[in-house]
Amino acid sequence: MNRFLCSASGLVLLLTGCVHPAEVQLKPEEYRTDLEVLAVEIPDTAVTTSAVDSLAILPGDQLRFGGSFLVNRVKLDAGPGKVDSFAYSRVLVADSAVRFGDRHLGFSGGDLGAVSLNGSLMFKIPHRVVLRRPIVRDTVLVRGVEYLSNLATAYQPNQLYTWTALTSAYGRFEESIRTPDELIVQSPLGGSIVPRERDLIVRWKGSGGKLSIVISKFDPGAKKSSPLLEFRSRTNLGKAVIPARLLRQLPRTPYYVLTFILSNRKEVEPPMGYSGKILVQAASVYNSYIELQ
Amino acid sequence: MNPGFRILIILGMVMLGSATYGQSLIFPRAIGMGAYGSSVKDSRAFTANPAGLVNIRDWDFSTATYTGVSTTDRGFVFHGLTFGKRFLDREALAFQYAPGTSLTLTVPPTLSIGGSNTPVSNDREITYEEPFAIGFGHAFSGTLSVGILGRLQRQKVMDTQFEIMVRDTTVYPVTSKVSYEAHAWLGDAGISWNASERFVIAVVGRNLIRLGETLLPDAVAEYRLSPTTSVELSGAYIASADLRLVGGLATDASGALGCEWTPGYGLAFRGAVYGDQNETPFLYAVGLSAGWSYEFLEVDASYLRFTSQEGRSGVINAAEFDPRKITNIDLNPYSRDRISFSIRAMFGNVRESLARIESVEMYSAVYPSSFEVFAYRPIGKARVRNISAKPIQARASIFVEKFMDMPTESQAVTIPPGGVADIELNAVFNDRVKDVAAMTIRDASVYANATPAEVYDDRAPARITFRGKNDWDGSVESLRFFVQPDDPDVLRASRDMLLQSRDAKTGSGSEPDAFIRARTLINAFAGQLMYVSDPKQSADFVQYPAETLRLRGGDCDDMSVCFASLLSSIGISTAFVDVVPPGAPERSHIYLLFDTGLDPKFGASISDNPKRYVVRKNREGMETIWIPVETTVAARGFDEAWTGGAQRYFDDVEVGLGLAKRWVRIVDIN
Repeated sequence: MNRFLCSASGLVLLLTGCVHPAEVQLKPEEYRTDLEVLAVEIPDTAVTTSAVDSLAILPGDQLRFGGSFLVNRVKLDAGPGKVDSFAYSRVLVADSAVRFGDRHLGFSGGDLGAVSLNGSLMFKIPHRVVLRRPIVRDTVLVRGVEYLSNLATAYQPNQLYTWTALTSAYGRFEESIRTPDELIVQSPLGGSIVPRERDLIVRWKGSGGKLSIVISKFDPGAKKSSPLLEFRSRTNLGKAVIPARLLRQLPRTPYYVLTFILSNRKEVEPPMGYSGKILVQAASVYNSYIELQ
Repeated sequence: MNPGFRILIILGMVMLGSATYGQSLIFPRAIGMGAYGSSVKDSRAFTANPAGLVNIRDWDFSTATYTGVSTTDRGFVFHGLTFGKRFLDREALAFQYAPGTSLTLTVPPTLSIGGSNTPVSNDREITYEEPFAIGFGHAFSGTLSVGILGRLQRQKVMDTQFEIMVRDTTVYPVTSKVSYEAHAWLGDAGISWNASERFVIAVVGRNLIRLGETLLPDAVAEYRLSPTTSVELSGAYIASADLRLVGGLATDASGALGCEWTPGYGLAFRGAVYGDQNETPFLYAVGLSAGWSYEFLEVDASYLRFTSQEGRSGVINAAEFDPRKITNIDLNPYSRDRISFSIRAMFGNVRESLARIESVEMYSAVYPSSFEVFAYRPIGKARVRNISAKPIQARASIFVEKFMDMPTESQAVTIPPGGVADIELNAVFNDRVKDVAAMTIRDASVYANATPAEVYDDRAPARITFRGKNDWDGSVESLRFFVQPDDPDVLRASRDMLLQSRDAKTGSGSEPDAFIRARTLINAFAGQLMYVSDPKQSADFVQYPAETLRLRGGDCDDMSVCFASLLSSIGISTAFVDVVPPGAPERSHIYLLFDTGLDPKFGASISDNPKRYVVRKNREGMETIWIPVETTVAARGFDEAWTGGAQRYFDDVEVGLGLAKRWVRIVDIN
């Protein structure tokens, strides 16, 4: 009986102790877990998309939407004394998709008549996508119109911006969005040299919108950026870590731009007579041009 | 704590070197006592000192579990189990499987792959573990044992790696897992020495050897454990039957003090404090433990509390992590408060001891000439204590391998509870003792047995000196055992001598037959003697009669023994006259008397001078005439030997009154 009791007791001890030993978490000093990295689609076209660093829309999204109502505040930080900024609003609604063979070249801009932003009439300007080739003359592939306002002095963070279009054919169209905080990037600033072998700690200030960071290769000669990866902060904690093990995998080219985008976005139905979803976006954009070593 | 005292302790620790303290946290008894190296008595926490394995009685099994105390790490963890087995009388083997002796460190994810099904996992997982250990203990004696221990230490790192892939028109971030592993068998060795009845000292060397060692690759070198060689010193002081105090120091300037109180009823209470120079505060942990044993079962529980919780919350700053601080996978700067439970069970020969041998005293050496006397005369004694709560019938026995066929057991002695009795030890040796050519010392085992079963309650070592076959302790009583009338060489010699002298037999015609035969024998042998040496040169060495016959010579002891053997072989009683002159023991001497069997009233038939013979009782109690013979002058013939013997006897006994004053003794041989 005693032997049975002993065996049973030992068995109970064995069975109850089925939990793994508690772990010890080694927390990095700048520990943040809310950053996720996403794939970036690079459409097979070099002519239809605009740069992420000014438009704050990834190329894939530019082609996915049938148009956009944007109000963007953009800062370009290439280092001390090389900081520039501008703000603008642009309205472009696709009239029709233009294709060249299998390639989607873009949309011709539809004419919405008079479009105003917060009561101020926007400029209607031609929308053209031009194919430039050596020797032969440029070819205009896409024709249409778009609307533009320079908000360099008028842009305000945390303000509701409303577009109103009064088309002769389809009547009144109105859409609004609120601008986020002014985005201030604290690290890395433009002109920084970032070692690939260390975790890159990024810091910013600004809320009132969703934050994403697009890392792009940058060609200083052509002043052209090619987006590679998009990081999204789920909770906008003001700082995050891009691990060295990821930085090490980036192409060995030295120049990159980190485009911080603090934005409010929504997708809306287009005005009558147009197809596809319309992206409405208010964004504060900060571009840090860095050197990755 | 007094700063001076603290500095003294630290200096003592540092002087020993630099390395680790092998405190095991698997079993509550070890946790509750702190310095456990000198207190290992079974398979529990035998990794603290494998030399303690020799205290296992037979089969030994134990298992343990623990739970964290804080809400974040609550839940029972199976810490490990051990098996132990005692082999023969001096060896024991134990095996430990300890999945709970594991430390896992995680580096939480800094990035997740968005829009994919890849689950979020840690960037890195570092695991240190010692899942297996095997130990062996050997007892050189009842006070000294040694042990060796092998521990399998594994280091694993699971690393997350990113890759950027371009497929069609999309740039993809992907992750992959890479695992690294390193392992080694680490070898320890321990000594346990019962310096006295109250002190036990233990020394353990850690990581003395590394077998099959592999290292983590350079990519994760920051997580490498590098076990260093170290020494741990611990001691136990048995203050009383129910109180044991322990203390230990290690060469990494850490240590512990503890105690165990066993008030009875199978209960045990323990407490310990842990100190470490690298911890803040210095006394960084307290261990409390309680246990209860019943028959073959023992249950223990313990609580380990760290005085400072800094760094022990389960989350630490990665920059502060240093694998060099992990010298013990169970007990390290990241260990947390815990409550532990264990069960131990003994199987096989696990009867509770009723008696304990407190000391053994051996009285004398064993002389091959007289080894039979120890069948009746005590060779030593064992002091046996009744450690039970009721009176016991205790016996003691002794066994010497090779020289005894089986243990010789004493008479039973009744000992009251807690009482002590000296039990005398008799020993029945076999004839192999006679083959001991020169003095040798042999280990003996003394057993105390208080129950009718064939097993013993306690065992103690002893040492017995076996003298060479010709060695003599100087006592005339012992000299008797050299007399061998039944030796074939003696029988042959005496009969040959009598036969050769038959035709030459001379005498007065009235002389008794025994006298004539003795004279004939002595004269015949006297003619063969080549030498008689100085007795001082071989005072502790006696030749057997066959050797004297072969060598044709010897000293007074040898000649007396030889003549006594020859005379006895033809039926003549003999006696030694042992003379130790007062104040001059260097002039000690032995000569011989032989019995003529003649009634004293016929003394004139031998000699007209009554001073030439001695009247004394023979073995039948009748007074007869005995002839004194000085064997050292026997080479000159019987008459000279008789005259010399008579003169010595007259001087020693009649003039010097040696018999009355007891410096002359006559010892009958037959």
